Amino acid sequence: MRESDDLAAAPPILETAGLSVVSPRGGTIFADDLRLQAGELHLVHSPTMGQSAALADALLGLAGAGEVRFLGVAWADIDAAEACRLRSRIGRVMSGGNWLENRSVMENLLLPLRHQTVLAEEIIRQRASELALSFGLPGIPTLLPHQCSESDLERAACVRAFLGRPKLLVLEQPIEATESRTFPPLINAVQQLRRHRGAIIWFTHKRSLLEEPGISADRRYRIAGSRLLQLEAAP
Amino acid sequence: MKPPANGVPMVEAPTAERPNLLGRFGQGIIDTTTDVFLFTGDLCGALTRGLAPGNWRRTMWTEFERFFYFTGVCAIPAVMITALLVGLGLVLQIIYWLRVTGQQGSIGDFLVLVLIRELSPVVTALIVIGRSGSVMLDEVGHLKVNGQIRMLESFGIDATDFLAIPRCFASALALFALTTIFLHTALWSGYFAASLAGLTALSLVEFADAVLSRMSLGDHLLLVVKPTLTGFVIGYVAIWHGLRVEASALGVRRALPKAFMYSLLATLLIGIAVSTVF
Repeated sequence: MRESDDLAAAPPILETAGLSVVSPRGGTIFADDLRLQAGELHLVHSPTMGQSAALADALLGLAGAGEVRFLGVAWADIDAAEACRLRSRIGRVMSGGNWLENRSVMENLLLPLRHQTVLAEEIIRQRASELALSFGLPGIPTLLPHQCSESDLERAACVRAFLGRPKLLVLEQPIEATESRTFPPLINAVQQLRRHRGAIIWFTHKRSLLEEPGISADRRYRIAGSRLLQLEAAP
Repeated sequence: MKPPANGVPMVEAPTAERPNLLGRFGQGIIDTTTDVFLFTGDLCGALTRGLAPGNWRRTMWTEFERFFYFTGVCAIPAVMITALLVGLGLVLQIIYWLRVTGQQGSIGDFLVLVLIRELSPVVTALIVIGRSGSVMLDEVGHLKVNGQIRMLESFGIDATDFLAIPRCFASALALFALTTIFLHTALWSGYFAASLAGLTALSLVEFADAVLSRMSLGDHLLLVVKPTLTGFVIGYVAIWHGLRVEASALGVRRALPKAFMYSLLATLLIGIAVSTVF
């Protein structure tokens, strides 16, 4: 059997059935039959940040109606503690960063791994430093979020998302422009995650990103009205 | 239907039926009762999770230390100043009036009943409610409104584990420590003031003995149970309201007076209940 057949036979990382979520601007978004296999990247054009945040929340089992399965487990079938354990395998870049304002960026970055794992502090810091360097930061930022530049926060958000070596990565407008200094390292990190059989769903409000050859998405979607429409079939 | 104007019939827009006074009162009682049951259930859940061995992760310890420092250590000056004033006012008055009435032998009974059993835990709880409870609610409320609770949940961090449990346990331990500080400051400042004013002939050791000899095992237990339980509940009231603020600019501001009232009522109810048991 070829490797592509193996991938197709493997259970999807994420799948939805009859998913609907209320957008913050009103109206409902329906996202039926979204299936992310290991190593796949799906790109979603979402005109507003609110829509992508609502859909991302629904994929993580934090909102919405209908069924979402992550690694074969439906969010609705498990209790809160089990859901938290599963979510620790998901990395997320949230729109606007969503930093705890009274903690340094470093504390923010290390928080998920410090909370969920018993990994030694030095190992977590070492891993975070390496990722920070790969994203072009001189090290882990130790300032408070409001004291950092937007560009640094953009890169720090990517570090936080990749730090737990996620199985699923949800990117909500992770970069402002493809000219951004974050773009090349982000693409590198995304490709590396795909090689390690992680799946990525990338929300963007820029139409130009849908045609960006560097991204090489497996599927492309756009939110049109109340539906998530696939723009083209998987290659 | 209104009479036609210019030949066009006018239809009244349907208006939402507003409940009458009795209806609103009844709804208020139902809402409050539901809230009390929900709160009690959540509180017991948080307490159980906090007491379960192995449930405390290192991030929770970090939060605990931060909040113990803020609620306990930083409140010491405020508690000591209040206790000093209470000592000068109340303890001095008790010593003076017992001397006037020739009941100096009852000094221990009065101090145990008024200062140790009732006043110290309540006054310290009021300081913690005003100083730390409101700050906790404000912080958690803004985390909720700004979507940071959602961020924590996205990363698999349970808000009760990370925010509520460490803060409540820190508040419980802080209130116990502060009550002890309050009690000693009030007691000794009152004694020294009375000594300086020549109102008591008791030595330091005799005064301490007069108080300690009147304290039963129940009084000692009360001094641990009342502040600890009150501290935990005060912390949870703040967090519980903070996690439920409306997502609007006024959300936190509306929750503050409500949480203050609930904290105050909880403090008094716990005070009565614990005093009855011990």
